[in-house]
Amino acid sequence: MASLRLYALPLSGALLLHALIAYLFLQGFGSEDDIAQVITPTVVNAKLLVVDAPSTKKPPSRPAPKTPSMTPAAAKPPAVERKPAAEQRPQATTGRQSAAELERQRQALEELQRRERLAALGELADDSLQRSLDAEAQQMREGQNKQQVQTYQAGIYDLVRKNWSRPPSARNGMQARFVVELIPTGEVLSVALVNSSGNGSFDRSAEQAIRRARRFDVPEDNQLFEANFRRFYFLFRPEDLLR
Amino acid sequence: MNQPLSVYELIANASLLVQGVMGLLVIASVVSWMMILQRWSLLRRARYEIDSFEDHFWSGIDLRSLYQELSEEEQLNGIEEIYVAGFREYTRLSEQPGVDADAIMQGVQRAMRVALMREEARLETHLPFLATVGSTSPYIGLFGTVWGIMNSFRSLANMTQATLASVAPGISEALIATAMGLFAAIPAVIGYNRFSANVDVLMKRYEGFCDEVTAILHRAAHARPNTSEDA
Repeated sequence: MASLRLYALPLSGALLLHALIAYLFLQGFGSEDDIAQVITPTVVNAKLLVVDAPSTKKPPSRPAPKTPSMTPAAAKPPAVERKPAAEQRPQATTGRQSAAELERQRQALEELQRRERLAALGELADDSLQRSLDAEAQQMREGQNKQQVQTYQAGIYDLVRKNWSRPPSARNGMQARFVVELIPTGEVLSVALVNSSGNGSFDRSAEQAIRRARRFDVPEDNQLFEANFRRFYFLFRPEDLLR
Repeated sequence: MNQPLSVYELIANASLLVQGVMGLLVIASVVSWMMILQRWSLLRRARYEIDSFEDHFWSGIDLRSLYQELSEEEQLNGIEEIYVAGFREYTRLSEQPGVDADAIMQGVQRAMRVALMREEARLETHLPFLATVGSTSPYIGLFGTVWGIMNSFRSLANMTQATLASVAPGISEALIATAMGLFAAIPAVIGYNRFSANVDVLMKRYEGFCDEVTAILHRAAHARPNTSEDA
């Protein structure tokens, strides 16, 4: 009993301190990534919607500008942002924007319209839940894709390295950047030098290495290929050269 | 692999052993903080008590009336305990006939030393625990980290194309264990050093006080036989 009284206060103090530190740590650790998440703003919007339930028109207009501004470099937000443009002139898009991307834009548009209808109907809570689920699924897909893309990029780089015959003038720190175009089977369509290393023979040897590789491993997934490997920058930078 | 790696996810996905290590470290940290807070309040109170008692003692109060005053109190704190022990021994021995002054003083010193020892033990409880946490928890954390990295590299062997992204989460997860170990160890080491220094200072003051009381009683004891022989 006496020991209980003696230690109860310090124990609760220690527990409180740890809880505080754990809370701050988890908050601080996640804060940088939270900006990139689509979920957080959506949840905030859901709260807003519940509060403003009677005024039907307002809620759907509010999330639209908010979502893209909070998500830099995500695949989905540009589609949402360009909503009117995509609707009006699908033909005007450049050759690089392929059918798949258009399809995605249209899907996103339909999704948005469907959501607006739902919001107007008053199924606000359901909607926001669905949206956050969608966003989560989207994000998981993106994460997986990113890893896959990295794997393929590493494979491409390895292949180029293998096919490279180093010129005697190659030195550490040299790097050359090319634009490489592939066709969906992975065969090299064209190689063009963008940034020279300053050493002609190094540039030529690197370009030759890419051409000699002839065929790269590319993802089966067409969408992934179009987004990352149809036309990409290739930075050749061997690190094991003489100084 | 989801790109925002939250700490919570990392911990939840860690292997069972690493989680066990983390749990152990969290418990060690909580308990050592409990000890730190408890020691801190106790030592602060002890210092306050010694200050106020010395003020009282040197205010010119009669030793016998101080003893009487203290022996009526139920709960005595450290320094009062020492004083009461010494003075009780003195009165007991001096009431007995045929005990010479040196014997009285030996008895008094012994009684005060015992009380002093008891007080030192009271002040130093749990300090060894802090020392243990401070010295071992970095190793425990390191063990968890090594284990986690071992596993993450072993799973790397099965992959054809190893990217940084496939090892990074495992290593990041494993390093949390080291961070926790350090987190538990640093306050424990600081607390141990600080509190053992505080205990040393307090013990010095107790000893000084003991010597002063002994000196006063010594004077009184050597003055006594003459008066008793006279009587």
